[in-house]
Amino acid sequence: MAGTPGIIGKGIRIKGELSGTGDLVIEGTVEGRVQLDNHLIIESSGAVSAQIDVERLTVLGRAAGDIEARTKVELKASARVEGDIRAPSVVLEDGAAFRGTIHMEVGIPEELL
Amino acid sequence: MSTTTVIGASIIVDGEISGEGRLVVQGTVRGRVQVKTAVQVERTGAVDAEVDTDQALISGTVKGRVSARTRVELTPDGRMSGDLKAPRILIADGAQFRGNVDMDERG
Amino acid sequence: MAKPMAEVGTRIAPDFLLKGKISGDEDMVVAGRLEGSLELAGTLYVEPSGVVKADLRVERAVIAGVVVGNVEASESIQIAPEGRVMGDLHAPRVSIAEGARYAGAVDMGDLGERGVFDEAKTQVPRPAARVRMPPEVVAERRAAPAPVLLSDEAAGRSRPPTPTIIEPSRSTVGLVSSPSTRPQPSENDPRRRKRIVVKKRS
Repeated sequence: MAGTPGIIGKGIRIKGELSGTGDLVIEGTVEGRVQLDNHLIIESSGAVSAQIDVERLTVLGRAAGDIEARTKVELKASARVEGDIRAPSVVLEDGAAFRGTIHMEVGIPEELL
Repeated sequence: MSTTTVIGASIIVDGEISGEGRLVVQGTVRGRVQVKTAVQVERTGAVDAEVDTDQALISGTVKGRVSARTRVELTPDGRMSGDLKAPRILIADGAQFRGNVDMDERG
Repeated sequence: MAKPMAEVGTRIAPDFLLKGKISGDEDMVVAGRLEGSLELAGTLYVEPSGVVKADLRVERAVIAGVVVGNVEASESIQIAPEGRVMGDLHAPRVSIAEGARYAGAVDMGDLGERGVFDEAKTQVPRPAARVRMPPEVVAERRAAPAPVLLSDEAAGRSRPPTPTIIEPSRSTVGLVSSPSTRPQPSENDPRRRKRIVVKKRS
């Protein structure tokens, strides 16, 4: 279900629930809930204060809330994120600002725990 | 080289060190040392511990009991107070030692 | 790659265990096992073969092995692709590489009192061409609502079935720049200019 992503432009503010199956790029402000079966990109101008439930997330802007991704969450160098992140893979680029918790499946030997 | 552990000059270990290879001490170790192959206390090294190894080479300060399966050597810079137990012991001219020496192979 | 003994620095070899309270003013490489607590005025490198079960207080940490414990660094914490870490991280800079595995709480401190959404202080990049709409134009546009471009299908329709009324964050409306991923309509295409309805708060 690829194809061109939906875009929420700069200067646009949404309060409520966003859901869908396509990719989505957020350049504006979203408050509430985002549920996507694909890739969500929060651009550098984007600010999302929401519960995020997606296939994959890439953050270049701001995000706050509970984040859950089925494959990967990536915080780029310009990202500023606060919240709880759950995903099989979470990548923090050098320069990304984050405060909260990260949960990945770590695979630590029993005897160390 | 991969089986040599080096404790640098500024490092202080309060506890125990154990391993299969060689241990080189340039810093401070207090507690217990159980290293299979060799223990080398360099000039800047200070060991206040019970030491169990195969070969010990002491050029620094050691306080405690040193047991070696093969030999113990104190170089001219070596300072030791404690007991030495090894089948072969060499204390160089200039080294300082105070304690008991047990060279009995049966012990 | 053999280094002369003098250059090696502090290194815990793979088959060694260091257990207890450890401190120092130099860099340290852990290729073996470290347990207890470590306070280092230097950089700690945990090699892929390294296993650390300790609380760490260092200047920098570069972790490519296993660490179970809290890590506090005055400069940075870097979890390399082979790193596996469980514990809290406190440092002004933290990076987690692709392939690394991590679970715990992260505090970089610099989000501080401002918080992520302190709009007053945060700079939002502005579009390159910014046009201030005269009040007459704004009033005109109020009559013809336009949708938010949520998907490109909407762009294809000349009149959307259900217009979405959006409140912009500021009263002035400007041109919204489009990202390169979106296909660009031609120069004269009326869709090129995004129209936003300005709704007065009652």
